[in-house]
Amino acid sequence: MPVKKLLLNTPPDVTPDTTVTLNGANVPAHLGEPLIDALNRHSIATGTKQVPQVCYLPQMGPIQSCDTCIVEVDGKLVRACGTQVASGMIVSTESHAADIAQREAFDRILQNHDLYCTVCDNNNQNCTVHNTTADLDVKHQALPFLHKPYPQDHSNPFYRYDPDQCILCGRCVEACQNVQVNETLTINWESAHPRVLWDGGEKIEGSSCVSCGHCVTVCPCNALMEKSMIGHAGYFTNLPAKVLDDMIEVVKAIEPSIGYGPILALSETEAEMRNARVKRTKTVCTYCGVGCSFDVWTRDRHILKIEPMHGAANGISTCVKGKFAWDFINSDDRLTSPLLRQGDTFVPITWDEALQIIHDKFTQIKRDHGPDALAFIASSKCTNEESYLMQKLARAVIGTNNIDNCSRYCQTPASKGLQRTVGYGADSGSISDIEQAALVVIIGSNTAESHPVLATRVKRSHKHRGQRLIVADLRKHEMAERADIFIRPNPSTDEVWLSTVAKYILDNGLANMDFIHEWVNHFDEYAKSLEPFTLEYCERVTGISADTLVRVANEIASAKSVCVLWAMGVTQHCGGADTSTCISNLLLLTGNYKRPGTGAYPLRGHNNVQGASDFGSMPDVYSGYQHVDDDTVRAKFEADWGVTLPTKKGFDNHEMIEAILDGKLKSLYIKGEDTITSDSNTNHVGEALRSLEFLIVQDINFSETCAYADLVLPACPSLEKEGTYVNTERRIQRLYKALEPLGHSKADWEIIQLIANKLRAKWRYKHPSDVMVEVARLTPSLAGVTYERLEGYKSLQWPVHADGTDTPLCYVDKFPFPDGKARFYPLEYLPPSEEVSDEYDLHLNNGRLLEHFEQGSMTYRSPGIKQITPRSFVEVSPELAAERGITTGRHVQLTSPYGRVRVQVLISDRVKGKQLYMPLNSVEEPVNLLTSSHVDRATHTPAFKELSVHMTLLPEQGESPLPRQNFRFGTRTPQTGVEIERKWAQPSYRLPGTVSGDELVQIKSTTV
Amino acid sequence: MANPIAFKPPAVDPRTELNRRLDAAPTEHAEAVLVVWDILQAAHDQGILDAVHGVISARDTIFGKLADYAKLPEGKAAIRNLLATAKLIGELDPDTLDQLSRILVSTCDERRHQPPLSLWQLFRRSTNEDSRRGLAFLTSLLSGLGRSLK
Repeated sequence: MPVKKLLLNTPPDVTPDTTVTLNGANVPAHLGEPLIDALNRHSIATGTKQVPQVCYLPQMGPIQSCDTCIVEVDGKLVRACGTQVASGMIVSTESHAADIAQREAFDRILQNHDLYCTVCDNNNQNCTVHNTTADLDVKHQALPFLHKPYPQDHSNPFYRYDPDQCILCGRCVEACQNVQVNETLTINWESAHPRVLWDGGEKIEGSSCVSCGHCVTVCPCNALMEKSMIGHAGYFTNLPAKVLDDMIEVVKAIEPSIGYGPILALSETEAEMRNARVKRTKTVCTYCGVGCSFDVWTRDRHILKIEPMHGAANGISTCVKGKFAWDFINSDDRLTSPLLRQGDTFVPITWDEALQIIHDKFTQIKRDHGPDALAFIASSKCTNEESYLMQKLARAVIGTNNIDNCSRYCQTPASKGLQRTVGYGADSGSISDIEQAALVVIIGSNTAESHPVLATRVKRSHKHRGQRLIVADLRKHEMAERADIFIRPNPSTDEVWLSTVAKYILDNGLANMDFIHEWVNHFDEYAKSLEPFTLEYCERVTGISADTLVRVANEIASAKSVCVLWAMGVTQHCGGADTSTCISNLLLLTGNYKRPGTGAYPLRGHNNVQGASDFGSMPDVYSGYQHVDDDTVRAKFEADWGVTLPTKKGFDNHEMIEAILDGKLKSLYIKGEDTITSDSNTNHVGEALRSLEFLIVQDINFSETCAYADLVLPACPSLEKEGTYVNTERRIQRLYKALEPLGHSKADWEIIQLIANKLRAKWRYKHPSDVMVEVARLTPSLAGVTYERLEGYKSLQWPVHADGTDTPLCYVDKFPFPDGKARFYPLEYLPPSEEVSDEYDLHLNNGRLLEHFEQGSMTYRSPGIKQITPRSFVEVSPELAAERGITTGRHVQLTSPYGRVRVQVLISDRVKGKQLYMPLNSVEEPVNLLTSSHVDRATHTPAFKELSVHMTLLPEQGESPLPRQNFRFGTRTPQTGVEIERKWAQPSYRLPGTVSGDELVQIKSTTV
Repeated sequence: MANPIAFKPPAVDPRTELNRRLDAAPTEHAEAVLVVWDILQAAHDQGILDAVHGVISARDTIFGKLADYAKLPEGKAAIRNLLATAKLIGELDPDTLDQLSRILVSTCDERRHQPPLSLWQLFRRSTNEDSRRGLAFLTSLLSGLGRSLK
């Protein structure tokens, strides 16, 4: 029976339902909770000293390795973290026996850790070992420090491990095994010199470590540390190593005379001094849509580290990008001044000149061709306030609804599917619902790599809480490997197997008819639409056996609660919106809405792709999805903005490209998006961009799209501005300014306002919070959003009522349709736009990698990322490689009807048969040179995933495109956790405080 | 026809940013800057700036040398002795030390102008209460010293 671990996004119930007697006083507690939690709550409430605790981190739960939290319960010495509260417990934390045990336990820890705090980069007032030494008022160690016979390991690009400083608390192992669930770290307890191992060995490099940084974040001392901290955080830490060693030796020599008191006082002074130059700023990650928030530590412009702890979505979790890939902020090719195309180059100009050019060109094009000859593309990387202002610029200043954002390339079909059936085009619940679900179904999503932190919640619940997992994907990625059922439907056939499963459930009386009768309309039409989806038909179309389909159907029907997660593998098809609809239909059929642990979860790909749409950067809606063709809504915005607004829907991204080529669109203003590499059919898009009369590109670096621009505007990245983002679970979070803008770059909202005012708009926003006030005033679903309610780590999930009440789980009372009922949406399956043929005989799937984001605009500027994954590649199955005589490293050319790329082969059993996979991480040979202009029928999202190619072998044979140090070559070492019982089983181990010798330690340790 | 232009923006010069801040500094911190100028001038006139410059430039070497000497057995002993002395001074009752110093001064003055005492006079003095208290103190000190030398 696996140990049931804590949920990471769902706070435990600690409502007092019993009392314990603590040092003679009655203290409220919750039955079954770790005793240490009740003790800590009491200490905080009364301002009294906490029981020492080195290995215990509430977010992870008990590890029981340090023994410092030993207390007396009913006369027996026990670990407070490993003891559950029971009714009538008599607890003493201050008894002589407990004191002796705690000090003996901590003395053993100091045997493993050299205290040289003043010259340690981790001396930042939050070092658990330092603070415990001070709290226990340790004057001298009884057990001397013992060196371990291992060198430091610097082989990972981002962090280093120092076995000599490692106290073997096991926090890192617990984090790796049970929070990240990458299962790389272990401790060899049976060794004479235990240490942390990577894949069972002593080297980090080449192991399965994904550099998520969990281990570094939870390390209670300096054993695991970010390399960006080393030599930068302290005043003396950049002294030569020999000098530091000599200084440490001297301090150790005089310690017997003075004890630790003065030495700690000195280091605490040095730590306090660091506050003068080290700044800690709360921010939100700008990579995927999970919405991790954390403190970024900076010293001048140097980023010391990312410290997650309090984020509502991520807690202590990060992935390699969020934790370590921030070098793009300071890359030496940041745009620092406006650039104007002049002949065959660009020349720097002033902001005044740039604004005048924009004024002149916008005015001329509007005069000559009308406002609809101009279009605007907002960014999923920018803030909500910036997205709002971009659409306001388009609508209120220029007078066009030609405004869209990059959700058009990814998740608009998912929004459409949900709007058709349940109302809101967004996740129906929270990450906490996903981790609570009895069954998680993942379709077309490489969650462990594309949404790594969210995936950890599924992996943890699957490993420790009995959650079931079904994965449907073309590739056998990590989530597929972990799944209870893994199915590989033929490309573009998810709608078929989903409909077949629905029909089976309905035909066999497994549907939740009570739920349907009470909450869903159009049942009869839906039931009829399922008739063609027999098991036989499905087997033929999808390649999935009838037995497997029946197993899947029964799993879904019998699960107490089901969450379905999906991503680009579903949406980037001609039937993307239909398949998304199909998923929602299935959830309605089985009653999996309205309850905790249920619902639909399209996983948003960018940090603010949800917010860009929520705040109105779409051609048909204002903020909060209020339709532009609704007279009442439009009148409201007209009154507030003091203008007359256009009435008809504008062009979406796809239509913009076609309109340029048709000569209807003359000007395009792109903010924070690399359109040429992100949109499908690059050659086609390039032709359109060349044809524009005026193209503005606003970005932080000179992107591929900048090369087509007439005017390039330098913007600020997230760390240089304020604002808010919305994550995949509709959670609005604030980011704060950590650094000043570089050069003459400006925050996007400031640039948009400058342009608007140059065009005589008279906007008066002094801060993004002013924009939010306006949004709240005009948007019912965001009515209660204020910066005060979002202060620090506070967040709100929309819809947010005027009183500030938010909505972690949607539809609890009713669905947002006039009668409060959801709607089945009947569908008809249409085959994909492109299928393999004699000429294009291979299916090419494409998507993200863990360590790179999209085409690598940010991540290639991180030397560490570039080191572990330097280039793109194409995954080829072992069987296809054998058939074609290919080995890893072979150069090939892939050709589609739309273009060709040259790339190296990586043989991988993640793909099978004649299916290939090519990651997006290249701007030199982008996969979008191959993709078509076919689009989703309902939303115009490009069908990136419907692609057939021909592969030609080139003569060049190179090394593997992935270096050996990449985590994909490692072999995980799964354990239930730190396996502390193995430590306890060692002959040298005994519970501290249980023999008379321990008291001698006590006498020594408290005497000067 | 706006064909794409291969272009690499000029590398960010960190000095530009610093120059901007420097340009703004005199007005932002006018009062403090004026005081600093005065301090700088005085420190320069006295040669202090040169000395500080030298110390900062040689920081690693100075720390290295200090650590080198400090870690010698004599260095460690000296630091420990210094700390022990400081501890002794810190723990002594200032009133006692004050009395002791007064007695020492007055006794020295007195003895300088008087002939030495006879043996009988010394014996008689040692029998009074004050002398016995002083002797007890000294013999306790000697016992402790002897014990620590075992």
